[in-house]
Amino acid sequence: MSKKNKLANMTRRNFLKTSSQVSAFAFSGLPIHSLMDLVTKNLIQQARAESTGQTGGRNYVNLLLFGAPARYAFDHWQKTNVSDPDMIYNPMVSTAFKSSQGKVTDTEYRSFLHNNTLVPHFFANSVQTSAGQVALTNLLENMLVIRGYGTGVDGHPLNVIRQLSPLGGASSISGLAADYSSKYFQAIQWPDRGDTSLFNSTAGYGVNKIFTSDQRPLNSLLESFIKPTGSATSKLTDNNSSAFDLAKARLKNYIGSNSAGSKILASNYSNAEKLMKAGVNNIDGYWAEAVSRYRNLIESSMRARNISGLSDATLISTGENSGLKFESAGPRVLAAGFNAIDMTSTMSAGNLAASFALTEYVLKEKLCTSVEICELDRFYSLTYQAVGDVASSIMDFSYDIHENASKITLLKTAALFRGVAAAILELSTQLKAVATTNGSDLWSDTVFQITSDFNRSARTDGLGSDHGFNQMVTSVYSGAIKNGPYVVGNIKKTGLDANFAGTQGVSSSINGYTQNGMPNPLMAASTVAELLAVPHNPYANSAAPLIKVSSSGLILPFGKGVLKDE
Amino acid sequence: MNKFRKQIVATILAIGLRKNHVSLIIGFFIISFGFQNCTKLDSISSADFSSVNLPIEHPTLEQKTLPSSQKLMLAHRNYIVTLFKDIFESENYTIRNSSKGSLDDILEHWIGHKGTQFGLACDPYSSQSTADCAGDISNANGAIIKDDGTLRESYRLKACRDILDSENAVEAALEKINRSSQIPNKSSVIQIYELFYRDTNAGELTVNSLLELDRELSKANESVYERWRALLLVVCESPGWQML
Repeated sequence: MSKKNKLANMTRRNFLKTSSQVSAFAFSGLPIHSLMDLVTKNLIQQARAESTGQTGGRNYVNLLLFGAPARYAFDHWQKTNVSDPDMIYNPMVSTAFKSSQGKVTDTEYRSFLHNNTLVPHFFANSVQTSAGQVALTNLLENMLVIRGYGTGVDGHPLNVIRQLSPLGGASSISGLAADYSSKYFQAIQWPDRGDTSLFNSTAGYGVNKIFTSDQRPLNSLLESFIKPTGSATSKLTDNNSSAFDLAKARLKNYIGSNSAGSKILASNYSNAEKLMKAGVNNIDGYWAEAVSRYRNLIESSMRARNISGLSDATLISTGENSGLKFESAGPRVLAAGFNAIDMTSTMSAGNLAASFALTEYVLKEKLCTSVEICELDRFYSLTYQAVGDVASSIMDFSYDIHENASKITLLKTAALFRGVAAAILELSTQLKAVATTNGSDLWSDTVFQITSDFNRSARTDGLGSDHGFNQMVTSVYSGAIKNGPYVVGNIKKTGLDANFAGTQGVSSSINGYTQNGMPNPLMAASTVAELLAVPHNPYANSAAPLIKVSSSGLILPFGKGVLKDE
Repeated sequence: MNKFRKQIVATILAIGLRKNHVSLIIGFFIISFGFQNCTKLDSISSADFSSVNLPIEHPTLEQKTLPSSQKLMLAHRNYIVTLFKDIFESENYTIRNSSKGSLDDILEHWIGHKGTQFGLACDPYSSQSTADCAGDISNANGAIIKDDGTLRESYRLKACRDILDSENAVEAALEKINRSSQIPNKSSVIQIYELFYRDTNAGELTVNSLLELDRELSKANESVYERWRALLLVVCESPGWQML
């Protein structure tokens, strides 16, 4: 081949190939390998120096209450402004028992003003935490309610997924938090959510699902990181750590591909290695104390008597016509003489205690950014005696409370959410005690969201509720939310139809909003993403966030949520 | 990037080269960094150190080519269990009564029963005891392929370590390679690599890295046996062989 032809065939790629060969030849006899070693070693040192702190947005915790318990007593607020029109009362949305001479006589929607927002009676009480009795108004200070959205279609898992992974091709909310994580575990999930989970991270991370047949998810998460001592491989690697580090780093770099996925693989490998080297100790000590602490405060709050308007009067059944209907393999009614308030006297924490203990540990130890915990469809250990039963029993009941009448619904859900609220307050207390490098605290760097499939559509007769996929709600808690509570999203004064009449949080449009008519779950997700303070909110183009975070509180670009006279 | 270049210059000065060599080195780096295309050194820029923000992403000479946004398909639990059994078990050698139990015990604990991390739904009908599901059928509907995660990697590393703590596992693996010498050499290192990486050949950089590890261990007076163990361990722990 002539010189001219050679030049004509010299593509840029060939040129580079030839050039590098020439360069490599020129290097023969020179310590190129040593040079590359130094470069690689430098990378290793930088990796070692890498902070395990947050580089992206806030931590994210999602508590899923799968099965859709009614949320009216707790966070699906109806009339929140004094200027809102009066509600059309439906007993299924009641927030308190009316009583006379120590006996429950009826239910009502009772609320009070806190920071210019009408909030349900639930928050007028207090719960037990490790710091003693704490007023639930403390929770309001850091609380945002996002209501007034829906999907218009039924289905339990579908509606969970539509809320938590609301935009095809984009990260799910917990995936979004994970996208910007620099922690050992970008995201964890316990218990396994099965088909209610659609975790997606456009950065390519997977969620670390913790599998455990007992109530010890932290042990399962960290069992592989307990530092081995005296084994042949640990002696060998400990005695020659520099040589091993270098060889491993080189292999990790040389073998693989340039895809984002292989980088994630290498990153996870590095994280596992680093954490194994650091070792994890004293999990058992922490776990026993923390689970016991959360269990005690959750269960004492669930079971509490003398809670004003919720458990301070007796609710004695008169049998078949008492209206105290509940569901246990079909509709049943509490037996005559049975005090309905006793149902919650044995209520237990289920997965909640372990879930919160896990969350506290991984956040305080900076192990994880995105935490998915859940309670799968159970009010645990309720006492009951139905008409026809010879004695009382203790049983778990589904959250999907179709055939639960208003009083039973209020009783069960107020107890459940007292436990949840106590646990959130405890978690916030623990996280507030941890200062962060930005001069704030860990609670301000964390966003806690309560999700359920949907709220419930309230039957007109007050004897049951169904799937409220046009009346969804979620509530969010964070130290970054100051001077709360805040309510965004509009609802209608009227119900769905004659079978579901009365005010019950049916979604309505928002003036000037980026979505027409009833907003879909992107509205809520976009608002949560704004709180996460990630560099890019992937939902914002489709649904503008309803809040902006400022140092003094939240700014509401579309105004406060209102009850519309529709 | 400036910091990176300073590091290179400092390195050049540190190794005290002659002037004409320095010119060649500078020329090399201009070529390497001046074009957005494939050169050998660029393999470093594909390293996964999230704190390092290098400007150009390049495939390496030893890389498979995949689109940059493609998620990886990773081997499921049965593939990994089978691979490990294939490597670490022979007619003469197997792990029976180590402090971690038998080879099967180790593999079941760290891989086989971790379907949540490694994928492939368990089969509740595989045995009367539903052993494949570890007595819990919640993974019976699991996906075949799962995403990677720190937890998965840690389980895999633990499996490598628990297995290679046993001399029987080392012996079994060494039986599978054709050793031309009692001490590791290029040929045996390539064979160790190919025990795990079934569909790729060991590149020169990889082989040199493993040989250098061996030299370092030799300098540290580790026994020949430990040097073999080290080579098996490093290749076993490297993440790339899981990629399908």
